[in-house]
Formats: sequence, C-alpha cells, structure tokens
Amino acid sequence: MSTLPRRLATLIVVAAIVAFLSIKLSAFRDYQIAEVAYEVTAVAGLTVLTGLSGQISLGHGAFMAIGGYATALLLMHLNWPFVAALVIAAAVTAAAGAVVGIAAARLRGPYLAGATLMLGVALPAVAYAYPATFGGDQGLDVTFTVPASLSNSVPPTRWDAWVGTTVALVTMLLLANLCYSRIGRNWRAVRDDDVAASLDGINVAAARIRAFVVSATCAGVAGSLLAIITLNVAPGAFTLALSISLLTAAVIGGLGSLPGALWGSLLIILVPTYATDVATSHGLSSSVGSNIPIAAYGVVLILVMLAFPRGIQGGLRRLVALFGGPPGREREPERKPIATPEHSEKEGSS
Amino acid sequence: MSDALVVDGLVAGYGEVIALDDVHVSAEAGAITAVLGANGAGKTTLLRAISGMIKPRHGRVMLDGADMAGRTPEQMVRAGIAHVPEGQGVIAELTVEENLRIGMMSRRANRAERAAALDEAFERFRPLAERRRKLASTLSGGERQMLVIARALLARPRVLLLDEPSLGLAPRVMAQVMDLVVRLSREHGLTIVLVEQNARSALSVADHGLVLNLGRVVAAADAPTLAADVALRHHYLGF
Amino acid sequence: MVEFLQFTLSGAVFGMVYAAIALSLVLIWRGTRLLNYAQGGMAMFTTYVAIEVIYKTGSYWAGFVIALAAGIVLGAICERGVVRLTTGRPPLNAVIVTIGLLILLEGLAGIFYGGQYRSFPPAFSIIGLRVGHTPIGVSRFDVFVAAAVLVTTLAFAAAFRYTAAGLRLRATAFNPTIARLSGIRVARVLTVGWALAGLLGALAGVLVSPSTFLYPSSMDTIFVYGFTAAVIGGLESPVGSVVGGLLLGIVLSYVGGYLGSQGPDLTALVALGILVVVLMIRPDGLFAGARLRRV
Repeated sequence: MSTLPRRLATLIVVAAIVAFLSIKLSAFRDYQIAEVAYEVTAVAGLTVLTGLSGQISLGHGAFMAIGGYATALLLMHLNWPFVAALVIAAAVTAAAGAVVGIAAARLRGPYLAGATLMLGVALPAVAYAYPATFGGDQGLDVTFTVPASLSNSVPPTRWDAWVGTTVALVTMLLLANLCYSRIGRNWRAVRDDDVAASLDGINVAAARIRAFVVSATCAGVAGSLLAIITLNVAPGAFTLALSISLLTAAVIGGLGSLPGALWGSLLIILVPTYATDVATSHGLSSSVGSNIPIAAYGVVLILVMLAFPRGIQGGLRRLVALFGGPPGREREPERKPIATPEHSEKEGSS
Repeated sequence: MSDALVVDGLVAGYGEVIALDDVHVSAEAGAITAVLGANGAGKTTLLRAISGMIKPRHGRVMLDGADMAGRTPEQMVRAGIAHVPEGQGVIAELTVEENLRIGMMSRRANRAERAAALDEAFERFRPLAERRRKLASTLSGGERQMLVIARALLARPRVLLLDEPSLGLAPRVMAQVMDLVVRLSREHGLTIVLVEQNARSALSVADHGLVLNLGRVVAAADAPTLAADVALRHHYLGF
Repeated sequence: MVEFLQFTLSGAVFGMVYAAIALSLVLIWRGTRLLNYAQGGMAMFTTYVAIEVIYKTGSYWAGFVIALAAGIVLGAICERGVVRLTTGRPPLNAVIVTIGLLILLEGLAGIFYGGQYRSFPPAFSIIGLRVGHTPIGVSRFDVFVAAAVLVTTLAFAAAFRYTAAGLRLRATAFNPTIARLSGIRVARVLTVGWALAGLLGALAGVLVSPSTFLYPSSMDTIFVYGFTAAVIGGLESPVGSVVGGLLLGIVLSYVGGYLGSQGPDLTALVALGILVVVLMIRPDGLFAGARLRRV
C-alpha cells in the first residue's frame, strides 16, 4: 500500500523523468508537457470528486476559469509573484467550490450533472457580460517570464513545463494523502451508501462539500497554471468542451485513480494532436482534414471505454495481474457456499 | 410420471460467492415440488437460475428433456417457464388490467383471444375484476399476490416457479394463496416449484420436496416422508 | 404590454424546442437510466441529412420526413451498436461513450458536409404575424414549431397509454426485471425507446435550425438548455419536460428582450439561477414523484 515515503519517491522519479524529457524534447513538446500538467491537476481533483465521493461534475471548467481569471487579475493589477497569486486564486476557487458544494449537497446523479453542466456554460459567460473587468472576448493577457537568474539557460516553454509539473506533482501528493486519510475513507463510505454512512456517524453533507472544495481548488490551481502557460485567459479557453474533456479524462484514465488522471490527460491531449498530425501529413482538404481527427478522437473514446470498463488504470492493473504480479486490491475469488441474493439495485446514474 | 423440469448439477452464484453447489432437482409434471430451507440457503437463487435471471456457472436446466442453457428470462417465459419472484411482483405504476396484459406479451394471440383470456382471468380472480382500472399500488398484499399469479398464468406456462408467494401475508390470506396453488396444480396440470420459508404449510400442499442448506441439497423425497422426518425438520426447517 | 406578449410568445416557441430535446432525454432516461449526451449531436446530424435532401429534391417536406426517419434509424443504431455494449458496466462509462458518440457525429458531419454555417429553410413564412396592426412576436413558422412539438408529444403520450408497444415501453421503464419475466423483449424495447428519442431530436433539429444556422456544433447550446429543461421538470416526467421547456424559454426570452445588450450574455446565468432555485426546493425536479430510497 502507498505510504508517504513511497509517494515521495514516485514523485521524485516522475519529476526526474519530466525534467529529462523537457530538456531532450522540442519546445512544442515542452508546451505539451505544461498542458498535461495543468490538465492533470484539474482531472486529479475531479477524479477524486467523482470517483471517491460519488458526485459528478460537468462544469469543472468554471472553477478553472475562476482560478485563471483571479490569477490574471492579480498578476495584472497587483504585480504579485506567481506563487502568491496561485495561493489566492486557489483560496478564491475553494470558496466558490464551497458555495457550489453546499448547493449541490442534496442533488443526485443526473440532477447534479445538469446543474454543473449549466454552471460550466454560465460562468465563463460572465466574462462577456462585464468586458471592462474581464476583457470580454479577447480576455486578459498574462505576463509570466522566466526568473532572471535562469533566463539564459532555460527557455520559457521549459520553465513553464517545470513550473506546471511541480505544481501538478505537489497537488497529486496532497490529494494522495487526503485520499488515504480518514477524510478519503469517509468519501468512499458516502459514495457507496450514504444512509449507512450517516448511521455510522459520518456527516454526509460535510463530506460531500469537502470533496467539492478540494476538487474545485485543484481546478482553480489548474486554471492558474493555464493562465501563465498560455499567457491569456479568455472565455474561449473555458468552454463546455473543456469541462466535458476533464470528466472524460477522469473516467477514461480510471475513475478515482490518481495515475488514471495522468493517463486520461495524456490521452485527451495527445490523441487529437496525433490525429491532426496524421491528417495534415496526408494533405487532406481542410474541412475533411480538420474533422477526421475529431471523428477519430470520438472513436478512440468509445473504443477505449468499451475495452477498458475500469479505465486505463484498471486495464493496466489487469495486465499486471495477468503476468503474475501482485493482484493489488483484488483478492483471489473463493468458493464460498453461502450467499443471500444481494438486493442492491442502485439507482441509475447519469 | 415423467419430470417436466430437471435441474442437473447446477452451480450458480453472485460475483465471487457460490450460492448453489451441484444442485439437482426433478419436478414431476403436474405436481407440486417444494424447495425448503433456511434463509440464505439458496432457494431464491435456484429459481433465478432456472428462469434465466442469473446465468448458471455449470449444470443444466431441462424442460421436457430440452436443454434451456443460456436463455434469457424472456425466452424462458416463451418456452413455458413462468417465474413469480419474491416480494414486489406487480408493477405498481400500472393498472391491474395493464399488469395482466403484460402477462400475455409472451404469447401470440389476436385481440379476441387476449380479451377472452383477460375475461377468464377476471372470472377466476374476482377481486381483481373489481379493481380492474385501479393502479396496482392500491391493492392489498394478498390481492397483489393474486395479481402476480394471475399474470404469470396468462403466459400459459408449463412450469410455474413461485418464490415465497405467502410472504408478508396474513395467515388467512396465506391459506387462500396456498389453496390457489393446489388448485392450479390439480385442475390445470401445472408443474409447480414452490419456494417457501414456511416449510410446514408448504409440505402440507406439496407432493415432493427438497431441502437446501448452504447451497447444497441435503434431502429430497416425497412430501409425507420429509414431513415425518423429525430430525430433518428440526435441523433445517424450523419445526 | 405588447412587448411582454411578444417576448412571451416567442419564448414559448423556443421553449417547445427545448421541450422536445428534454422529452427525448426523459424517454431514454426512463427506459435505460442513461443520459444521452449525444442527443444534440444526433439532432444536428439528421438535420444535415435533411438539408442535403432538400437541396437535391427541392422539397422541404421530403427533407423533413427523411430527417425524422433518419432520427429513428440513428437512434436505433446508436443503441444497438454502441450503447448496448455498456450495460452492466460502471454507469459513467455510458456517459463517456455517449460523449464519444457526440464528438464522432460532429466530426462526421464536418467530414461529409463541411464545417461552414449553413442556412436551413423554415417550413413556413417567418414574417411576423399581426393582430390588427400589432406584431405579436411570432410568425407562421413559429406557430408550426409549437404545434409540431405539441402534436408529436400528444401522439407519443397517446401511443404510450393505449398501445401494446407503449405498454411494453412503460413496463420496461418502471420495472425491467418484471418486464423480462413477463416475456417482454426488453432489449428490443430499449432500441425502440432510443429510436423514438432520435425522432424527437430530429424534429427539434429541423425546427430550430432556421434560427440558429446549421454547423457541427449548432445543437450544443440547444442540448444544454434542453437538458436543463428536463432537469427542471424532473427526469421522470414528460409533463415536466414541457413545463420546464416553456418556463426556460419564456424566462430567457424576457432576459434577452428586456436586458438589452447585456441580455444575451446573461441568459446562461439566469438559466443557472432558475435551475438552482428549482433544485433547492425540489432536488428531483418540479414533477418528481415521491421516490422511496431502497435502504
């Protein structure tokens, strides 16, 4: 089982790999590493919310928007260092997460999905409604540079990749600790059977709200990273498609799994780029060429989801078990003669 | 007399747990076979495995000698095995008449035949006729049980699987239901497999019986023999 | 006062389109306990089919009918081919699969029909109707839109109530286990449910596309508002879908109409506000029946 030293070790290994890659690969790849970093940060929070506490959110792009715009405004108007802006942005988003979490505490399944979907659509629209503050369509430009001491040896894209990766890894570490703590266990209890959980003395509403706050904060941090990596925040960066892609990444990677957040993020960022590359290299006409990657991406989602019902991480676990590795959390099936038919019919889900 | 329904070497379960282990059942045609045992012994699982609600891991289910392996519940009904499950057997949101109409959906029949079958059902089950257009949720426990059995009969089954038909009913109503079960068998030649917690009342109407314990058959004989075996009754049947 | 009437009527027309999408979602939800995130995409695709038919034959009604037929076929194909494979799996898998379907359909539309905005003809005149000299805010086409959705809804309601097929659908929606044990071929019923939902979506698509133009993601916003209408009304209730759709359409029409230039940007926020208010009072929607939690 994972423990703190083990997690730190994994972290350091991953950081080393990323550092190595960021030096060896092109600037565009560095940019992609940075993209994956902020995606993972958001997806990790979402996979905890949906996988561990059982609450779906189709609007996490809204929290990214809050974090991004907060960061942009702080950097622009107050000239704060990035870390300070990041912390404040996270706090603001956490507060927003609390508000949404409180509103959402009583909602189930599809109703929660509908409410968060609308949140994801409505919140970025605020930027259009108040163009003076939020820059309207063009949004706000963000200045973020490599620190003077490193600016000769480290190009901006590599620096972005490092900053992004560091923030992402720290977030994952904190999330991992949370997931294996009593808080995380409470989340799982609430997800599996909230009536039983409350009979056990768990404050169900508090647990659910807490999950929202944590996941929103992660998304806010991700939005903050997005601001400094893309150097712009505009409504067009926080579309419904973004919110949907966050959930997609979480489920396809393996719901509730932090490594899964990474696999999912890699898939949603790399597959469309790869498909576009293939299409362009074949010199197809623009409308066909730009749409084949889209169609292909849709097919990939369907196929991966059907082939790996427990996500990519689930598939990897099965693969490892197949080759005689430790079966992980799955026990060997036993032949036990006693059973009462389980009358557990879960309500449908969105 | 030959066996209408034979279950041979059945192994079935849920997930990692095995609920039935090498179970054999012979249900004589036109007779009532009681399946008895304590809670959790596997009685309901047995019926579910026969009607296709769960897929057996091993073993065969044979109707008149034909192997019913792998069939879905819808196919089983059409083949002639009707399962009346335990507990909520009616669709509460539909009317009594609609519940009955559903029972006929496994048959090919034209409108006149369906109307005739419905009339016949209402003849036989008067209380249902009175509540024809009411929602099934307004029926009492005994009436619901009647509705469920009436619906199953409309499918013109050869074999009727009844899972705890008297569950939760008052003693007088329980007796009426048992009465009905006997008449179905005697008058209509239906083969009935009856799962009952109340072993005493089941054995009083059954022709044959088998006792399950922890997923295995521990006894199978004709009903009077089982009822006379005091040790068996004490150990497995609670009386 | 006249403005109020205009906004109300034109809002009601849009509301009926939302209601159509909401109804298709409720239909699928009740039958299969899934939310079909591809519903908007399916509607968009069938509308493209319609416009191709209209261009080639010159007949609007041919396109209209073919669109509805394509909706039936597309719904059935999606269920049988793809969604069925998700039964028994974790529920969110079906969500991702329908999202994948949505993306696939948008990509295919771009490939086959190109990505530019296309205009879609209305069935009737879009000139505002007048009572006396006052324009009332709706046109003949708008009346057709409302009437088409209404007629289709009533036809479905009647079919569900009075036909054997409708009974099968309802039985399967209420209690699939008992439905199977009664011999109902539940798998077939589910396909029919999706096919009917596809028809409703196709109807919504051809009715709304004259206003929104047609492009691969043109139905995305309509889908979001249709989904919102379904949630407001309660996913178990077809009546709720219509009420939710009308409510949403009319209120948003007021917002767009009375709030001038800021109006259009605030419609999403207002919709969110309505949603939050309704769900705070009734977490399962306005027309949620009492649902006993099985403990």
